[in-house]
Amino acid sequence: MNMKDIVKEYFENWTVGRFSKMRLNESSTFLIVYMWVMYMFNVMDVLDTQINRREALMGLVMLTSGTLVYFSMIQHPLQHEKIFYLCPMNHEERKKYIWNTYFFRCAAHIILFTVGTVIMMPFSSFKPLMYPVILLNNVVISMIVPINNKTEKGYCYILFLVLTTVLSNMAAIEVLADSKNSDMWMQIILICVLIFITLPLMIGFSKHIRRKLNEAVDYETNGVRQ
Amino acid sequence: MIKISNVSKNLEKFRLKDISLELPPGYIYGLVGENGAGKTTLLHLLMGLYTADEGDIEIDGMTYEDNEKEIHNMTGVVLAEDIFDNAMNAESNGRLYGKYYSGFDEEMYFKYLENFEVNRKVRLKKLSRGQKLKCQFAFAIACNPKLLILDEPTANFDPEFRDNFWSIIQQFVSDGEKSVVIATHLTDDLDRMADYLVYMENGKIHYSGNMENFRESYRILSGESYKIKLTDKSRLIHIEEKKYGAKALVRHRKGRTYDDSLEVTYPSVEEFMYYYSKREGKNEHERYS
Repeated sequence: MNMKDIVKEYFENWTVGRFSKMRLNESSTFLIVYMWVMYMFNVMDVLDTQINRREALMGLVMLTSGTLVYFSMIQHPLQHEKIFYLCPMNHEERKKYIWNTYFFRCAAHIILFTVGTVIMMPFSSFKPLMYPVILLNNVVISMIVPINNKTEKGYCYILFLVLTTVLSNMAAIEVLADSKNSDMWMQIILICVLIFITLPLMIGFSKHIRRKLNEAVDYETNGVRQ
Repeated sequence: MIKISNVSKNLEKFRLKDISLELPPGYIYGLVGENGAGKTTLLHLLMGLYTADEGDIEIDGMTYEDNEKEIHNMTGVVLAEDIFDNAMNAESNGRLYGKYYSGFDEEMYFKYLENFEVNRKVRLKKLSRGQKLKCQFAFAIACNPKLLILDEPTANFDPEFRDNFWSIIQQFVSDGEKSVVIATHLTDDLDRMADYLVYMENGKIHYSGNMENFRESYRILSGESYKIKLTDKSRLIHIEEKKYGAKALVRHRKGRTYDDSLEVTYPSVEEFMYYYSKREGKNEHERYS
């Protein structure tokens, strides 16, 4: 299976049918819906000032790219249908396929986020330190593999990772939207959060990513896509 | 075609114990047993979805350890559960997974779907269970396999399609090189179509042999209870007494005669399963085995 096939499959796998599997009570779906609702209230409340109009636009771009990435995760779960494990492939080929599709998916998500960040740029003030913060947070979100079972190892990591990255990005957007103040303390705090909380959490979570990917290689260890 | 030697598999609440079987090519093999007997586990081992804890499985002289890809390439599968992506239609599923099989014939797949009256443009989740199975069956045949593994396919087929299904199966094995392993509860079909019978109970094989041997090895006796009981006790598997007589399954030996007043018939697979599963000493045997 070459890269061309992986790209083709990625787009073929976008089907309306899988959206019906989204459940509002799932924490991740709930978080997305909650953020959109909060955003709408925020927009209705604050569109009167120049700064907040800018913040609203940046928030919209950020939320849109975040939501698209979330949809992409739903459309391309690590678990495969049973037929995948019955197809003529050996263990190594399945492993290569699963890892390659994961890397491709990460790259697609990073591109989506980066496009969002680039669109945001003309509306933001010049605070160059904040862009690496947003970019690295987005890389972290792009690399996440879903762990929905609360009893499964790595669940706490994912919970804190999503919280810290989303909150950091929201704070970074607020800083970027404010052209009057430099918010130096806030910028320092966000960089510290990235270096001392988000990145160590991601390093800790990486072993669970490896585990989930390796589990998906064989039927016996893989929870078949539900 | 298939050689299973001393295979055991431990699952969370179930154990497949020391299974050995040798199935030559060119036949239809019926796999029967009560729910939880281990049929699906055995089929999962044959399909390479499970790895045996002990023992070896050879398919066409190859093992999953060394030739997983080749074995999957020559195996078609139909399972009672959903194996395809329900969010996609039959056409997309066929295209997506068919490309892995060297023998996949897309035109043949579409032709079968049309013959089976399955709309290939409708998402699978909107199709009935029977139609989903027809879709799996069309895909399995279109992959030009040497071995077909079918787990409970016929239960959801309408009677008309079931005849069509069996005629395709018979055509499939007609060249003498291809085989079909089918697990089913609809044993009437096996009586008519199967060449070989494997009966499982509690994770063990209790009978395996060709249908002729099976028919020669057992008899159903009907008549008065005391007359049935006069037969050799070691040959009596189970007797069911009713108000106006009794019926029993006995082990038969060529040339053996029975009381003239007893009606002696060949057992159907269903009768065999029914009486065999109620045999005396079954529970004690299971407890100590």
